[in-house]
This record gives sequence, structure tokens and C-alpha cells, in this order.
Amino acid sequence: MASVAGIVEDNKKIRDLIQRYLDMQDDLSCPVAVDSVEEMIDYLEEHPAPDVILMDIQLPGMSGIKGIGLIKEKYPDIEIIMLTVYHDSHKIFKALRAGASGYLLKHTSLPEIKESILKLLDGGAPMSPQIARKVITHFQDDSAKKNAESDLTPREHDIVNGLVDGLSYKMIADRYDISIDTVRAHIRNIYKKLHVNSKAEVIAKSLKGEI
Amino acid sequence: MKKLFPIFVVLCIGLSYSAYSQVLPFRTYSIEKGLSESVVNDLLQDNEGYLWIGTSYGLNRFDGIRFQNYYTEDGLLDNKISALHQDHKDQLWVGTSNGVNIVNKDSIYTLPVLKPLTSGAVLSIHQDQFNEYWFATDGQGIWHLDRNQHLTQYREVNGLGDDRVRDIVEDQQGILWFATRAGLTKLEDGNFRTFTTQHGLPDNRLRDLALTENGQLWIGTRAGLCRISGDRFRCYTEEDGLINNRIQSISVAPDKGLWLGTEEGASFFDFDKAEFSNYSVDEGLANNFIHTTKYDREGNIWFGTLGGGISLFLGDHFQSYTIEEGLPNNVVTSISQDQSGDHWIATYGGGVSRLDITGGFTTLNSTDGLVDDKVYTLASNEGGGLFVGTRWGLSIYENERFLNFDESELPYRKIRALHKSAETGNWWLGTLGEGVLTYNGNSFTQWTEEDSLANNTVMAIEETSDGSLWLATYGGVSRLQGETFTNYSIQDGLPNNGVLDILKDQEGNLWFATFGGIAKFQNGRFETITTADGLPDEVCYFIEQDDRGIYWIGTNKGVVRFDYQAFQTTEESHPFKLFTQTQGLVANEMYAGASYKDRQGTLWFGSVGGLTRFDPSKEKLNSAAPKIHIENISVAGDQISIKPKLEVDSDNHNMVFSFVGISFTAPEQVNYRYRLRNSGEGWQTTSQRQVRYSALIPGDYTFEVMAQNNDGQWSSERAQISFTVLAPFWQQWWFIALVLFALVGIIFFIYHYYRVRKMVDIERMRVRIASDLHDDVGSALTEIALQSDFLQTMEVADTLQESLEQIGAQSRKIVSSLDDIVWSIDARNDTVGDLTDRMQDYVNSVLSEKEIQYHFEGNMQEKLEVSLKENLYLIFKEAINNIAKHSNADRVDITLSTNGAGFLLSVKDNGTSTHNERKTGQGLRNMNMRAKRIDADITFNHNQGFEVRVSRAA
Repeated sequence: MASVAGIVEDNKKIRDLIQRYLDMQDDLSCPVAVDSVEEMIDYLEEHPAPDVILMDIQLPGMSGIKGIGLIKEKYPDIEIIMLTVYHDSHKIFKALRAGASGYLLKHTSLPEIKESILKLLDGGAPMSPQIARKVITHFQDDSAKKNAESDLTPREHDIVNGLVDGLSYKMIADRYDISIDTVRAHIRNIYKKLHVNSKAEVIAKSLKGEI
Repeated sequence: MKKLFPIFVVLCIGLSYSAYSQVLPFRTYSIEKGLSESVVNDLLQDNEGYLWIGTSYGLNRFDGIRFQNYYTEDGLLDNKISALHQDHKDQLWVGTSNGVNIVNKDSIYTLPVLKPLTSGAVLSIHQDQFNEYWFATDGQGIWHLDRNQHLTQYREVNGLGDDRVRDIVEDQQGILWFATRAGLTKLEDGNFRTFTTQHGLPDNRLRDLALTENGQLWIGTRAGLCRISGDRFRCYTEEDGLINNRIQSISVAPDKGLWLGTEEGASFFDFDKAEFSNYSVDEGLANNFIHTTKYDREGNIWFGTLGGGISLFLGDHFQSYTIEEGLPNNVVTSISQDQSGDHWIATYGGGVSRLDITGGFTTLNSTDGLVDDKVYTLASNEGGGLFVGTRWGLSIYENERFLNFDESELPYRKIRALHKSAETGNWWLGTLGEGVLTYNGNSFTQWTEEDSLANNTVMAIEETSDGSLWLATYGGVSRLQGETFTNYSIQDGLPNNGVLDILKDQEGNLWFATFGGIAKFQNGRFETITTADGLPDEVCYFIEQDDRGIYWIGTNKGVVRFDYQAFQTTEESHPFKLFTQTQGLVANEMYAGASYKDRQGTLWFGSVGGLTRFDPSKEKLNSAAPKIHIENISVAGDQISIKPKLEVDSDNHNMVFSFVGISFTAPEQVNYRYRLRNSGEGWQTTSQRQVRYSALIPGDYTFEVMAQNNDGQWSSERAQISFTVLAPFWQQWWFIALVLFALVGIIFFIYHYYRVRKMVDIERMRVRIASDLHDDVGSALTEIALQSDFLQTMEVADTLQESLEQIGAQSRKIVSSLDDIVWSIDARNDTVGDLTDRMQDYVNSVLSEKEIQYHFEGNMQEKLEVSLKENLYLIFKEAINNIAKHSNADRVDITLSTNGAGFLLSVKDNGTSTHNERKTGQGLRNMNMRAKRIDADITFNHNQGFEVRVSRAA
């Protein structure tokens, strides 16, 4: 059964191109392509949720990052892939912490976009060394206040460090004698913990009255 | 408190009138001048030069100008002051009717140990050679305060002559002598011994004691003056010439004699002549009843009187005559001496008067045949007789008769000047408005302006040895030689054309007194001496020369003593000395031409207020320089206390220093020299007693002032006061430092702020431009790329397919470049770690197939400069692209190590393809250029592969 994808992208031409391309694929359909988070939320309220949403960051109205948070809140099962013009690790990291599972640069070729979506749905989540480094500093910085559940396991640490060292998933898998799928699973977990951590932060902040 | 005016004043008004008297230079100060009371009991001159006057109502301090009064309100035990004494510490001890006070500077206090003395009047205070004090009281005997502050009383019962003691002195042997009402008591070796009438004293009631420098003790009694030698007394009474036997006071004039104050005037006892000179109210003394006398440091004598205040006597060199002394009129126009030696005085309104040797006046006026009582001039004829020039013509007094001329003989009225020619024996008559006349004994001949006379008003006539006649006119000086007039005026060097008097000096040179100064005529030239040269006044009525060669000039301000020799020698000399009423002149305004030197060398000056006679041989010079004191300082009108380390605020507008130089001879003629050190101003001179500074800039100053008396004596010491004008707070060092600091801070802040802001602005602008480019262009390129992707999914020809791929790849490459730019200028991506991340990302995307080894060293958090980061990344990217495009390598070693400012980047592969191809490529040139931009060395090694190595030393 074909997976369902949604697109939030304010550039109509790009949106249409990607939508048309994805719709043309056998294993994917793209019934919804809107130009704002608000529209997507409206859509989600009345339609079955897609498996994956490609989300631009800079959008009219609500920003993509905020949108990720909102959507993930209500529909935790939807995988969200950031679609960004920038290779901006800060924004990407923010998005990841908001709940995104990966990111794609807009100029990525259409076949690669399709590939990435399928890979993600298959359980794999991409993590570049830049992101990995930020993951490490994030967990180091927060080590004081976060609880044990949201801390990275030693294996997750190993994997992140491997990524920082520039190892591919395969090399990491070889190094620790685990399967690539396991590596992917770990990375997914790491993403989740990032998300949880950011939520915990929000809670902590709200308790302190900062929000 | 109500002051009781002494009834003695009333008694003394009935002055005895004597026709044979003259006024002498007595100067009186009493209540109207500021003295607290006219009954004076004691006088003292302190070491500072001030005169202290103890009166029956208050204590006074006098500086020659101003009296400072002290009363019980100021701390005195009683307002009746009876004794004054200055101790060795310059403290003033004041005996009152109610005990003893001490005055120190301006504070008045009492000694508790002297409490018993408050029971009676203290009449005398003495400090002995052991600095122990003795107090003579009126009824309580003697009190002795020894050095251990023990007070002992000695009374009649102890051997003192009487409990009423008037005076105490100590002789050179340390013997104390007491003047009591019952004889003279001496205290020697602890024993009292009293001398009375039985021992030769003329009276037991003693008033005053005085010791001369040679140790003689003089005793003033109610019956004359006595001197004790051994146990015997030598006494002088009225029979010896003493003015009055009831002596109240004795003062010693060192080496000269004794000044005695009696109940009927003053006497001076001359040691050499053993003679008395007597002075009373007739000579100008304030009052005949003298309580006390004081010989001051200038050699003048002060008299403290009962009811008349104080009188200062300056000496008898000036003697004056007015209507009161027998002059017919006070306007004295001319003086002459006749053959007999008598003096003739011409007055304007009172006729002429003969002053004989006894001092008596005999007046002749119109009732005696004088043509007019308004007399301008007179001259005695050597052959006998007197020529008198009046407002109504000439009178000749001969054989006790006046010879007058009728209008047909002498049709000219106002005869102003008279001169008998030594050459011809003819008389020359100067007139007011009618030229000059000659009288040959029979008839008159007139010379006027028509004959070339300078002016028809002729004030004086003089003759020189060459036979020239010199005329002082209102049009200059006319010289008549033979029949010809030669005229001299301002153009020729005269100070003024109004010439009033002519003098032929001892050397035969002519001097002219004019309305604008004096002029000496010598060798055909005038030497002028005016106020600019220091002459005290410009109007010179007459000029006379005494036998010593000193010139005397009559002015509106008095008579000027002019020492021409001193004037010619040095600038420091004091050639002009002014004598005024204060110094004994009868009046200050002299009369034109009214001067005369008689055969005895005595000078006579006629003024509008009488006649003054001056004996040059009695002239005394005042060698006592003034004592100089800074009296007070005021700032903006508020007096501030004088103290060491005086500080004045910065708003010191109108700082006034008041000072006084004490010289009693001529208090108003004291001159001052002052300077304010550190003000950049040198010595200034002034006759004012204060100096004003309007606004002094902050700094340390010393105000110094010296005083000069009327004889040119400068005080040897300077009075000075140092003070600091504080800087306003905005000039204080701490404030300046603060402002400087703040200024530097602000400048630094502004600089920094703008620099940072500029940097931030540039950064922002760069980011914005890059972002905009990226967003807009990037989006457009992305569209193209995606379009090409999309088209490739269509069924298209192979050639088209290739083009589409190229379009896509090219667009993506551009987007990627833009991405690099945005990344490199983004300040958030500036650490070494960010660089390595980016490098890895790039490697991952380009060389995903090859085996990559990373060697990263150094602090990953260290920040890199934007340009360094960018260029390193682009070099790296170029190197990786080279490998991707040209190398057959399967392994790449990437090294980046940082160490402070130094770094090393190495990209090494194990490829075997020829290096030449790569070395010449565009990529290598780019890398070289970029390395240069960041001051780094770049090398390309091709040993077993290819290495790009970029490094910079730390």
C-alpha cells in the first residue's frame, strides 16, 4: 500500500512540482499540498493524517518549526521532514528538537526526495555530523536538569560520536557490530529523545513562569 | 549705658587769650574722631605700632586713621581704664576700675588668679625683670603676682607709704619704686623704705615716676618735678619755668629731656639747657589738664587729657598765626621783613600788620591812611619805608605815614607785584590787567601787551644779574632786556602759561611756579617738574628756597618740600614731602606769591587761613618706618578671618585686602607697595589702604604689602598673608580625572558601539543579501532543478535528457555555492567544529564512495574569523573537488588542526593520476589565491598521491 505524503510549502511552483512528482510514484501519493501550517492543520482535522509531511521552514503565518511542534503534539505518528533552502544546521536542529525526523534540502533532486521519504518511513532517519555534534552538546548542556529517561544511552552516544567523526551508518554498524537498521533505530530514538527533552524544557520553563 | 560727659570740659572753655601766642603743630583726636571718651587715663604704644588709649569709658586702639573701641561687652571688667601695660609676650594688660584684663590679639580675657584685684581700681601695672607682675591700686596697696602664680598683697601695714599707689618703676639695680600718696616707697631686698617731705620731697602726694636711660629716677609730685640722687632730691618748680607744679605724668624723650603733663599744660624739660618749654591750649593743646603722656616711636609726644581727648605734638618747627593770634585777616598775601627785623604781613581785607619780635601784631589799615585794606603785596625798601600794593593802587609807608597817589599820578589800580631794581633803583610794579609799571620816584611808565609784554596780568617780578627783568604773567614769562621783551610760554617748555611766582635760587637760576607745576630755567631751557614727576599738586602758588637749598612750593594741598638734589640723583629717593594742616600748617591752600625767606633763614608762608612760619633748623625727619599690618580680608563683601592655610572658594569675586601702615606723623601720607605673588603682577604702589582683586584664578597666592612714611622710609618688614584659591569642583583633579575617564569611556563606547554596530550591520546586510539571493535566486534555481528532474521523468530524447540533467546539476551547483556563502557569513557557524562539520558534510555528499580518514585536532569550540573560515572551507572544497574530478584515489586523509592563530589543513589522497594536470588547473590557482588572502602557506605535494597542505604559524 502506497504511503501518503503531505506538503507545506509556500512556493507554489516547487510545491506543485513535488506534489505532481510524488503523485506519479507507485508507492507514494500526495493528496495535500498547502502553503501554510494553518491550512495543513485545518486539513488534518477533516482528513486522515498522511504518513509524512514535507515542511518548509519559512512560511507565511506560523513558522514551520512551530508548526512541527503543533502537528507532532496532535498527531505524533506523522513523520515530518524539513524541507529547507538553507543548509542551516541551527534551524535544522531546532526543527529536529521540535519533532522533525529529518530534513531535505529543496534542491535535492526529486528522485532523492522520494528516496528519503521512503527511507524515513522505512525506519531510517538521516543525521549529518553537524547535527550529531549539536546533539552531543545539547545533551551535555542539559545533563544537569534532565531526567534519566531522556538521557542518551551509551550506545546512542557511541553512534552520535561516530556520526561526529564522519562515519557513515554502515561504518558505525561495522564498528559496533550491529546492523544498519539498528543504527537507524537508535538514531530515531535519539530524535525522539531530543523531542522529549525539548518538551521537558518547555514544561520546566512553564513551571518557572517563563512562558 | 549712658555716658557722663565730664564737667571739666565746660570749665576749660574759658580759654585765656594771649596776644603773644602762636599755634603749634598739635593734632587732637577726641570723641568726634572716634575716641570712646575724652577723659584719657593712660596711653601705650604696642610693638605693632598701635596706640592704645585707656579712657574713663572704654579702651581704644588707634592706627592713625581709625579707632577701634573696646567695652565691657567685649570682655573688659570695667569701662573705666586706668592702666595699660604690654608684657614680654606682646600681650596687653589692662588695669580697670574693677580688675585686670589681658588683651591678646582680638580676644579679651581675665586671669582667675587676679580675682582679688577686682575690689579696686588698678592704676599701674609693672612687669619686673623676673617677669613677675606688680599692680598698683587705688586703696588696696600693691599686689604681686609671682612666677608661681601666687598673689601677694603689700599694704601700708607692710611698710608701703600708702595704700593708694599711682605708679611703679624698677631701676637698673632691680629696686622697685612706688609713687604713693604718702611719699616715695622703695622696695629693695624685700625691705620697704619710704621717702617723704621729711627727706626733701616738696609734697608727699606723688603722681608719676620715670627712669631715664642713664638710670635717673624722676618723680612727679603735686609740687613740682624732682630727681632723686642718693637720698637727696633735686626739685624744679614753677619758679624754674615749669608750667605748673601739679605734675600728672612724666615721659622720657631719650637723650633729650622729659615731657611733663601737668594740670595746667605741658612742659618739656631740656636736659642740656635745664630749661622748660611750656605748651598750653593757646599753642593748640587739646586741654590743659593732662593725665598722661606718651613719647612714641616717631619721636612725637602724645598727651592724654582730661576732657580733650588726645593731642599729638609734632614739634615747634611750624608756628602759625591767625586772627585769634592777632592777625587782622586770615588771607595772607605777602610777607616782608623790614630793616629793624620786624615782619610785615599783608592781608587781603585787613591791611598790613607788623609782627614784632615779641610776637605781637600791630595792624595798619585804611584808617591809618592805607589806600586800601585789600593788600596784594608789600616790599620793604632798603632805604627805609614799605611799598604796599593794594587793590586801589600803591601806598608807600614812610616815617609812620602812608604816601598815596591820586588818579592823575597813578591811573592804574591793582598792584599785584613789587620789585626794586638792583641796577637802577627804580621800582617795578606788576598789575592785574594793566601790564607792568616803572616808578622812578617821580612818575610811572607803563608797559603792556602792546609793547610785546606776554600778558597784562603780572604776578611776580624778578631780576637777574645780567640786568634782565623777568615777569611772571598769565601769558607766560616775559623777559625785558633794555626795551625788548622776550616771551616764553608752553611752546618754549613752560608747564603752564599761568605763571604765579618767580624765585632766583642760590645759584642764580630762575624757578617759575605755575598753575601746572614748576619750571627751572637754566641755560636758556626750562626743566619742568609736574605731578607726573611726583609733585603732589599741579597748582603751584609760590616757590621759595631755604638756606640749605631745599625748595618749598605752595600748593592747594599744602606746602611741598622739594629736594632738587635728591630728585636728580636716584629714582628711589623721596624728593617730595608734603606738609599739610595735619603736620602743623595753618591751612592747606596757599596764596599766590605769598612766601618769604627772612634774614634769619626762617620761611614764611601765606595762606587763605593764616600765616605759617617755618624754621628749617628745627625740621625733623621721620626715620621711623611705618609698622605695616594686614587688617582684614573680605571676599564678596564678607570679611573672612585671617588664619594660616587660608582657603578661598573659587567664586572669589571682589577679594579686598585692607591694610594699614601706622605712622602718626602723617597718617594720610603713608604710601604702600604691594604685590600678589603668583598672580604674575609685580610690585604696585598705592596710597589707598586697600587693594581689590576682582577674580583670581585657582592657585596659591601670597599677598605682600610694605609701607612708606612721609619721609620715604619703607617698612623693613612686609606684612603678608598666604592663601589658596580653591579650584571650582569642575577644576579639581578628581573631577577632571572623572570627566576624562567618562569621556574616554564614552568615546570608547561610541567607537565600540559604532564599530560593533557597523560590523553587525555589515554582517546583517551580508546575511540579508545572501539570504535574499538564496531565497529568491535559490528558489528559482531549485525550481529549475526540480523542473528538469520532473522533465527527466517524461519520455524524452536522450540528447534532451542530457541537457536536462545538466540544467539540474548546474542549478544545484549554484544553489550549493550560495549555500556556502550563507554558511560562511553566518556568525553562528564560526567555530572550528562548524567548519569540520561542514567539511564532513561536503565530503559525504561528494566522496561518498571513498574511504575517508579524518584527523581533527585543537579546540573545536574555538572561533574562526569569517574570512579564514570561508577561505579554508573553499580551499578544502576545491581540494575535494579535485579529488572527485581528477583522482583515482580510493582513500583520502583529511587533517585539520588549530593552535591559536595557527592552523594546518591537509587533504591527501592516494591517487596515481598525473599531477601536472592538476597543478596547472584553475582550482590550484584559486587555492593559491585564497591561501594568500588568509596569510597562509600552501604547498602541493605529489608523493604517492597528492596532498594539498595549507598552514599558518601561530
